Order: sequence, then structure tokens, then C-alpha cells
Amino acid sequence: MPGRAARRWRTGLAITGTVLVVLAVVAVALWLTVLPRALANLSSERAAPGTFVTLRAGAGTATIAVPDGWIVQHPPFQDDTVLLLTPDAVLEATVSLRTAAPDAALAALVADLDLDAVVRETLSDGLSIAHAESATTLVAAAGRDGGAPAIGVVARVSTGSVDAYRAAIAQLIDGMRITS
Amino acid sequence: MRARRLIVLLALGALLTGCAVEPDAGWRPPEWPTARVSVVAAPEPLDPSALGELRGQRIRDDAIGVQARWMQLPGDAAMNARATAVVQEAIAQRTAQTGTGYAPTVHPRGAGMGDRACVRGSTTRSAAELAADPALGPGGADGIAVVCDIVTAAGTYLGQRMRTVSVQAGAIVGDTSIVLYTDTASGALATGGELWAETAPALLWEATVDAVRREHRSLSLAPVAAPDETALAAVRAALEQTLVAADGTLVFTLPAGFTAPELMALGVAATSSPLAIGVSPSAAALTPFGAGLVQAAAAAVPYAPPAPVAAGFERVDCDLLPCVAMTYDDGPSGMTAGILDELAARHAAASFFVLGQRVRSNADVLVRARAEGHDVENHSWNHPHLPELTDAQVRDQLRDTNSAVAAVTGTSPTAFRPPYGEYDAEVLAVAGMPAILWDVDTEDWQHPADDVLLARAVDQPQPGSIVLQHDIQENTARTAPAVYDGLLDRGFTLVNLRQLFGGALPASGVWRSAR
Repeated sequence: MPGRAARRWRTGLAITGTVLVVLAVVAVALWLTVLPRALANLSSERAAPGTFVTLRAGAGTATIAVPDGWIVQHPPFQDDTVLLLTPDAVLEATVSLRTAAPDAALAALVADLDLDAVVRETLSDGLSIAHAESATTLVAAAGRDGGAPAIGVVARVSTGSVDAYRAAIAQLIDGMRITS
Repeated sequence: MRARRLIVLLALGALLTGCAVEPDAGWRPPEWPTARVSVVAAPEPLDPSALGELRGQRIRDDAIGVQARWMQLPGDAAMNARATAVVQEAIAQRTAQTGTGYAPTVHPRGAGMGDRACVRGSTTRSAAELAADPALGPGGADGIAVVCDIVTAAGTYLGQRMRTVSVQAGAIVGDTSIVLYTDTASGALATGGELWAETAPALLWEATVDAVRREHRSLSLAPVAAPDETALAAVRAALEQTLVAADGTLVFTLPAGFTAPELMALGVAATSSPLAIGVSPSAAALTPFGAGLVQAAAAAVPYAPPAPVAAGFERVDCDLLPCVAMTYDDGPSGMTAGILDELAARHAAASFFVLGQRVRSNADVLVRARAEGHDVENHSWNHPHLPELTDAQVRDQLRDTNSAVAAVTGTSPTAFRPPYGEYDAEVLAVAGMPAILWDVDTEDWQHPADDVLLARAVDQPQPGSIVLQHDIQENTARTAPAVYDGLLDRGFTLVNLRQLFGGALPASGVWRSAR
């Protein structure tokens, strides 16, 4: 009898452990995927004229003038990043302030993406920008005189070509300012 | 209990996901601020043969090395004068270079000068290819070719591009073009540059630089710097050759080498080939003429050619074109109408010296001849030897004939041709009109073989010649088509006597040619 009781105990313990592990995995998965999105959704707002978002990273700060009607989502617990969607939600731009110089920031953002050659130019307020793109994604990093910090942008379309949204991306980028 | 839990979970889910802002499916991404300007392909020239009432003109003077083609519109003095001026500039240039004066020139039979329309696409071919083409080039290592294309035809508007290519020692040393537009309804004329408002060059520079940087994936909204004078001059020159596409898009072409500070900063090299820029009609700063033209093109209004003008009523510059006057004596007759048909088919004019006694019985054909712009002049009442008549008889012969012609056509003759070419001072004094004789007598009344008659009528005339035939001779009527085609093939323009003498007959004297 004692042997049977011990066996039941071990079996119960194993089942309980398995359930706990599964629950933990599910919780982590939710934490990493659904929860941030859900929390971001909770903070979704449509930009009114004159909407600015401030990003902070280290000692650097930047402001982003959000085009009228775009959807702004603040990821939880992240001061350095904002998600901006065009009003039709087809283009999603992740804008982040990074403590690296623009070239390094771009290299980090590009990562494994297969993009065309990098284009370098100057924005209307004097920020230098480097950008590259594929059919559906445009990655850019802008900074002052090639130094840190840099504002990184990863813009992706869910359907169609990013080319149709180039002027919209330009409008967004033109409203970026590094304030410190 | 389970139901309550389910409701809580659904509420939580809705809270987490449903708070997202609803996308606006009707929203459209913005366009570039200057998106109405873009790099395009230049529109192709039109087929001139598909457009009514255009008259091809062509000269070739191998002595000074000039060949030119251009198109004329009936009655459109401004366009015709401006197009002719382009040709005359080329002639003046070659005259100065060679030290040889220009004279209208004809060529041997088989020269192919009857083909006179613009050769479609000749204004866009390579200059070297054009210069080497016998149908277009100056025909030697030195000279000038003027070629043309019809570039726009919409509503009452017509556009003609004229290109002048200069060759020296076999090398191209000049290549310029001008685009001329006319509104045939008003007679107004404008160059390509005159389609645009004063502010257009600077605006188009900025828009073009912006369009080119967009082509190179620029995202910057930094404004394009205003052009300097050199850049502005380049745009103005390009606008002079503005074309209007079938959809109303205005297209101008910047030559190779176009660049701008914004493009250099972007790492874009200067263009290595011409760059055609299209401007949306709605975005263009245009003059009223330009706006009217673009509106007609954009609305796809079919081309409405001007009312036809009979060849004999056209203004012809016989100092530029080699002219010949075909004259017909002793009619009218039953053969005259056939001759008129052949002349009309070639948009050609002639002159008829009629006998007064034949006028009333052939009234219809004389009315037609006048209506089609041919000269109807006096050849006496019944073909006597005028010097053998008294003054009163001469007066009666000429006066009665003038009256008969005036009664039928409404216009009295102002010149006469004495029968047999016989006259004296008294005849001239009594006539009170110039005597128009001839310098080429085909002697058709002797009934030579057709090929002999053809050779006389086609090969003997020189620019300014007056050719004598008779519209009562069957061989003349029969060979008329071949004679006209032969003269056209040699480069002649067939005119009436008024045109041959610069628009009006001489007031007096005896004339055998206009030379």
C-alpha cells in the first residue's frame, strides 16, 4: 500500500509540475507577444493636429511630430520607442531613439533584412539620414552630423508596396527632431 | 459559474484588443508635393498624312547646301511665315558661309522632290543619320538640313517642330529646334516657350529637381534651392520645345548634363542623356494660349483643320520656291474640266487664256476655274492676228472678251495673251493690259508623241517659267497628270500667273517669264 501511495504522489507531482511549466510557457509567450500588443492597444490614440511624441534614451531626447490622423501606440515600459500607424493601418512604423550614431543604428536596424543600397541625404532641418528599403520595408536612421543619438525608423506595410507610402514616410521623417 | 468565468474572460479580451483605434479604410497616402511633374517618355510625332489640309513644302539647293521640309496650313499666315522664316535663316546662313546667292532650284526628272511632307520622326533621329539621308540632308559634307514633324493636333490647335542641323566637313556643328503652335481659329501663334507663364521656369526647375530626386528614392522634404541664371536659362531653352501629349501632359526635354545641388548631394550623377519631364495640365502655369491648347488636348478634342483654301488663292513665295506657271490657251473646252480635276488633285494652280467666243458656252467650267483660284485671262474673242487689225477691232476683241468673262465669273481679266504671240506697240497701247507670253512652248498643237510632249513640258521649264499649252488639245489633257507629277518631282510649285509675279499681275509690258 505504501508503495502505491508513493507512486500516486509522484504521478500527481509530475502532472502538477507539467501543468505549471505549460502555464509558465504560455504566460511568457503572452507576455512577449500578445500582452505588449494588447497593452499598446490600450494606449492607442489617433493623432490630432499638432501631436508630438517624445522619446528618451540615455541622455538623448527626440520629438516626433505625428502626422494628422495617424494612430499612435506606446509600448509599455518603453520610453525610447513608439509605434505609429497610418490612418488605414497598412503602414506600421516603429520609431525609436537609439544611443548609437545613425550608421550604426541603421546597421542594427537592417540586421538580416535584404534591402537595396543605402541612400544618404539631408532633411529640411539639417538632420542627416541614411535609408534603405525592400518592397515592403523601409529602414532609416537620422542624426546630427553623424553622431549619437539617432532616430531609427522601421516602416513596414502589411499589404502592397512600401513605395505607395513613401511620401507618408517622408512626412513622418520630416517631423523628427533630436532635441538633446 | 462557468458562464460567469467566460464572460469575464471575454470582457478582458475585448478590453485588451478592442481598444485599438479603428483603421480608416478610406484614407489614402499623400502624394509628393510636386507629384504632378515626373520623368516621362517624350510623345511621338504624329503622322502628317492623317491630318487634313496640310501642305508639305520642300526645297533643295545643292549650290549652297540646303535642303528643307516644312508644312504649311491653308490661310494661316502666322504659322506659315514663321516656319518659312526658319528656312530662310538657314539659307541666309549658308549664303553667308558659301558666298553664293540663293535662287530657287529645280532638279532633273526622277529627283523625287514631289515627296514634300514632314518625314515622321525626322526631328528625333540622330543628327548624323539625318544629315546623311538624301531625302533630308544637305547632300554634301557642308550644309544645312531643315526637317519637321507635326507634334500636336487637337481641336483648332496644331504644333509643328522644326529642326535645323548644320554640317561642316561632315561633322555636325549645329542642331537646334523650335516648336511652333498655332490656333487655326484665331490665327494666333506661339512657340513652346510661349505656352508658359513667366513664373513657370523657376517653378519647373524646382519641381524637376524634386521629381528626379524622388526617382532616386529621396525622402527629404527640404525645399529645392531656387535656380541660378544658368539653370534658369537651360529650363527656358528646354521649354521652347515643349510638346503637348495626347492626354494634355506638357513635356519638355532637358539636355544631357542636367544636375542640381540637391541631386549632387544625393550622389546622383549629371544626366547622360536627354531627360523628358511631363507636367500635369492642372499643375502647369500657362498663358491663355497654352491653357487653350492643353485643354483641347486633354479633352481629346479631334483635330479640326482650317477651311481649305484653293491652291490659286494661297500666298506662294516664288523667291523661295521654284515656281512654274502652266498656261492654257484657246479654251475653255470640254477638256478643261479634266485639267481642273488634275490640278485640284495636286493642289496646284494654273492660268487660262480664254477666247471670248467660247466663254458663254463653257460658263460652268470658267466659274469653277475662278472658284478654284486659277487665273482666267484674255486671249481675244476669236484668235485673230491682232497687229493686222485696226485699233478699234483690237479694242473690240479684248473688251468683248473681258466683258464675257466678267459676266460669267464676276471678275474681269487684267492681262492678255495675243494670239500667236503677235503684238506691236499699238496693240499694247490699245490693250491697256500687260501681254503675258511664254518661255516654254510645248507645241502641243503639232500633236507630238506623248513622251515628246511630256519631255518639253517637264524638262524645259526653269524657275519662273511660263509654259504654253492648249486646253483644246487632247494630248495636253491626256498628259496633264504626268506633266504635273513630273514638274512636282523636279521640285516645282505649280502656280497661277498672279502667284508667279508675287501676288499681282504686272500693270503693263510684255512678259515671257517671271525671271
